[in-house]
Amino acid sequence: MTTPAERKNQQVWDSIEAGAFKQALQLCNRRLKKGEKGDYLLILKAHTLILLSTPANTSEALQLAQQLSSKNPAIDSVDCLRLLTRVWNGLGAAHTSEISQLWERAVKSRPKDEALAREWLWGTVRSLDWRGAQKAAMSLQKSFPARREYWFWAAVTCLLLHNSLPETAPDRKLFGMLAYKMMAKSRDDTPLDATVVPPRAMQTSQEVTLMLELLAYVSPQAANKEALELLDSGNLGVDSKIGAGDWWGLARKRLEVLEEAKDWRVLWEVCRELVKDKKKKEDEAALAENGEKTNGEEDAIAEKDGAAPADEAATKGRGDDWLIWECFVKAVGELWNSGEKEPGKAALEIILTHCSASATARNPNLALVKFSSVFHDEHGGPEGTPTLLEACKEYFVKTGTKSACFEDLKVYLEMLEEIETEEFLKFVAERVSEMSDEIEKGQIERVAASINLYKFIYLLNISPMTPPLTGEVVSTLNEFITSALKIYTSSLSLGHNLLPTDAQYGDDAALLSVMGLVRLSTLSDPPSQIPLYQSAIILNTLLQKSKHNYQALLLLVRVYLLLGAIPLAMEIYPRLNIKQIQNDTLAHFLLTRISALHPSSNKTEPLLKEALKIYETSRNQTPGMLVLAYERGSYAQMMGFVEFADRVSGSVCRGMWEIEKRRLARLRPSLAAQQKNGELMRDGDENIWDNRDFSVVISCERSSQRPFEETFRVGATPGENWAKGFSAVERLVEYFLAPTTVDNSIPEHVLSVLSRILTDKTAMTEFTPVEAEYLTIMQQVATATTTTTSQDSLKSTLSTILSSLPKAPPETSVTPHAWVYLHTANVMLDLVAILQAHFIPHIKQKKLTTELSAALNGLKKAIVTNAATLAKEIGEEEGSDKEQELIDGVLALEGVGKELRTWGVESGVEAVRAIRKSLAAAVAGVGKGK
Amino acid sequence: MSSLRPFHPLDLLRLNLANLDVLTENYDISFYLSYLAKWPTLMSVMESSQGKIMGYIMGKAEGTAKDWHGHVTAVTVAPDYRRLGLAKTMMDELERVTTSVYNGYFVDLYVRVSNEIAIRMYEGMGYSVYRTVVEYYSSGSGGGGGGGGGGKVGAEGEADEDAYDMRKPMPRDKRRKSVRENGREVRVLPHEVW
Repeated sequence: MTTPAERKNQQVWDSIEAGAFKQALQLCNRRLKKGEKGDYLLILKAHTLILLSTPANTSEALQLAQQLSSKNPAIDSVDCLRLLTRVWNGLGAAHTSEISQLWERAVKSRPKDEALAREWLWGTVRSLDWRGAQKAAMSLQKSFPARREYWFWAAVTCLLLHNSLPETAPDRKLFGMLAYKMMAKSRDDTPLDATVVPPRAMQTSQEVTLMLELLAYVSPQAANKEALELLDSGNLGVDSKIGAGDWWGLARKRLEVLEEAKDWRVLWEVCRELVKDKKKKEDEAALAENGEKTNGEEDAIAEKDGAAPADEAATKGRGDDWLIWECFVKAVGELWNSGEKEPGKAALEIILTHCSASATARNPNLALVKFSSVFHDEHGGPEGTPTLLEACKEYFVKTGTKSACFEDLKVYLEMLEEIETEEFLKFVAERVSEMSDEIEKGQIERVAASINLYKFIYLLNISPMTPPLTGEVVSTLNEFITSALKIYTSSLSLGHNLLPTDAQYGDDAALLSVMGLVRLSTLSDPPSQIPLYQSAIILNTLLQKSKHNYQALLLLVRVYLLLGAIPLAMEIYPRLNIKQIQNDTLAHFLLTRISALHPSSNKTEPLLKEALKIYETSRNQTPGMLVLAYERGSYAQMMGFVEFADRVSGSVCRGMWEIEKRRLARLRPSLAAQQKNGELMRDGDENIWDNRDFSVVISCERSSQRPFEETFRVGATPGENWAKGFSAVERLVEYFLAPTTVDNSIPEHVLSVLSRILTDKTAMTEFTPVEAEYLTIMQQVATATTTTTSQDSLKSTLSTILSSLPKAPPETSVTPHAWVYLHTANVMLDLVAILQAHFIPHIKQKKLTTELSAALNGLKKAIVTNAATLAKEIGEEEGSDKEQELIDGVLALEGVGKELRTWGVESGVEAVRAIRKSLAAAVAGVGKGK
Repeated sequence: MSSLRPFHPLDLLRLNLANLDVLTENYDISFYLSYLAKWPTLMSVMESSQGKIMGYIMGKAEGTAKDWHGHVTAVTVAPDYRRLGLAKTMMDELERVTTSVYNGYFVDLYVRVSNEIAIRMYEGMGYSVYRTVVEYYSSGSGGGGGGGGGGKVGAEGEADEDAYDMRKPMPRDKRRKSVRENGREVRVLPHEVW
């Protein structure tokens, strides 16, 4: 049964849910006017006021929250306290400590109420207030000592508080030490015999892992020693009963610690045990069983009837882990160098035994390559050690038909001399040509091996190429591109049994040809656009056959952006199905500078809005998951949860998308009215992270070269400075919009931020030339806005702004990379918008701004007129000589063009036309935002 | 080269090689984190020596009494790293933890009946069809929480698809109750399995 008050509250919640905040507030006020009393109603009103988010409403909410939080006697209803916690959270981070005090007062009024005491902890954890949480957790473990988990909650909370404090904070060390002492006590209290365990002793692998994590944070010098003692201990170590709860996690940790501690002898011994082959283990087990069977063992064996032996169950699959092999080889290499030769000899024997036992097992076969790489420089090693070249060849023979073969061998091939790499390529080419292609399986394998061959060629011969683009280089590249295309074309006949969700067998060959074309484009001076058009044709063809090949989709988005075909890029991008956290890691492939590329599109704003949602989601969801981790005793995960929350909330993309959104609203004023601004990045923010995933794009470049994707980005890569610089500009715009209510020190602050960035060469690498000009002018605008500006200096600053105004981008800037034209024109229009709509009205002496005003009108007109003429020109070029010239280049009668012609001239022509039309649409959109 | 390691929350920022794959679902943050909070050792990633995440597995322990078991919620390998046996290594680890930590009777997973390659792969690992869950995967939606990767593909008008509930007995299931001959013919409705 619900009470009348509850039903009325529900009405308010329903209004809130429907977004009708004003109505919700009216409902609250009406009830209060009628004399209805009750804390919940008042808190609900405060909550509604915050949702309305005007300064007056927020201020009233603050007053209400203060009044309710200091009430005597203190509010102790959990529902009221939870809602009041939300209110304080809504009032901003500056009020976080109020939450803890609120709960603390309630808990003091009902000290025996365990549920309330726990809620205090959850309230603080949900607002990520670690100081408050530490207090709550300590109080909980002191008040309810019988609950063992509260002891661990307190320890982990001390650690989380320690981690959240700056290095310089005086009490940071104190909380770290407190956490350490609590966990050390638990460790020391854990008996060997697990039958009687003191409550606060460790009982789970998560508690052991917490101790290990903690050591690295609070006692880095002694961490390795203590960690090893713990991992080797009989009560809590890797092989203990408690350790079995996370056997592999702890076993891995031991390898990592031993490697870090450079304890090569022990590392070698531990690895040797782990890589022992199964038969040897069985022999040893049989020996032990026959030798000393003791009472009880028969029962144990009987119990395991029908099951795998416990030993096997414990280590199944783990002996063949690359981490073990890597440590194994590294350890023997180090021992060899220090004069201990025996482990090296034994290791080679073990590796060879594994390799001969299974030709396809990747890890031991690669361990042999790594083993030979250790002795590559001095051509030494134990007798029987193959040369690195021999080992690489052998590895290709065994795994050359797997696509992972390239990544596996890459680092080792880079160690070889040129003469050796030539021999390797010759060997691989011969092997591939000898492969049988009588049956389809053989043909498929041959395609896979050929792709690996071309990846090796790219790595060894194409990647090191540097300008200038000589005739020889062009011919090598053309040969590479056309050969890769031929492999792709020939592979298409093999895919008839594939599912629609599968990729064709030869897709990577097509991607390699695109990589060659991009190389051709970037090596040209100026960069050539023909290879990009050719790339678009290849990628489109690939995507017709393999609808979901995400490598092709990512590359095509990039190629379209560079060619200025922004509408086409926006059409392709949704096929990547970017969702959830990918909005933080991958959306940058399209959204970087999007507001100044195609502001007139209806798709731009929803894309930005969608991307920004993830930050709200993370803020809402992650703290709740921390509570869950406490409840489930997953202590080892908690530092990671906090780190994750920090990374997402401090994401540089979050700052960038907010700027894009605001800029877009200026270029399309109709959006401004409905838009609610989010948080801007602050110059003092230190918690800034770059979560963008660039590495997802295929790359066969040498490690000394930039990854492939980085060689053809859409302009300078924006980052923290870009976001901070333009956030400062947006802050200045906010100031212009409401100079009386906003802090009047903003112009000075903006000036200092912009001056810092503009004089920092490294910071300026994040900006395009027009962005740098924009920023310089905004620096002048901030100067002119500072309160200390005198009449004379204002005049002089205005004259500087006038003289530094950029010129409309020339039509010629549409080649080779048409995005430059769009970007330049739109950034200039945004600059004009800020100056016209915000800065000039702010200057009281109108006479001083007349000339600037006229110049801005002229600039805007020039940009828009030029764009309209250009759009018309491109839009009407079908059938023209200009178009024919482009098509003749793309579908040339020789080289790559000739290959593309085999797929159909018509489709090639259509692809080129589609790009030009898309470009025309983007250019036509310049200055057309409504 | 491949190395299995425990899943770390920051891995959520690095799953793209696997998650951009059309058959791998992208869940919301709380879905992954709740698994980590509840069953931290049933979630692992497979990492290459270059630090790339080649695939991952997430599972849970659920059920009551004789039905207590490990469940594979998702197992996925990025396209470039298939046919290397990585899924098996990850499944081995999940089975090991199901037995040694949770003492489950069996491990189960759900797979689309049309996904013959996956079904064969699971059969090769010792799984067999225990029952058919009728119209478990709804068309045009995410995977419905099935193992083997719920699909992102699906268009309007496509029919709902059945799932096989595949099981593998663990040592505790001495009487092998999680195996039956005619599992494909035993048809149940989705609400009966939840």
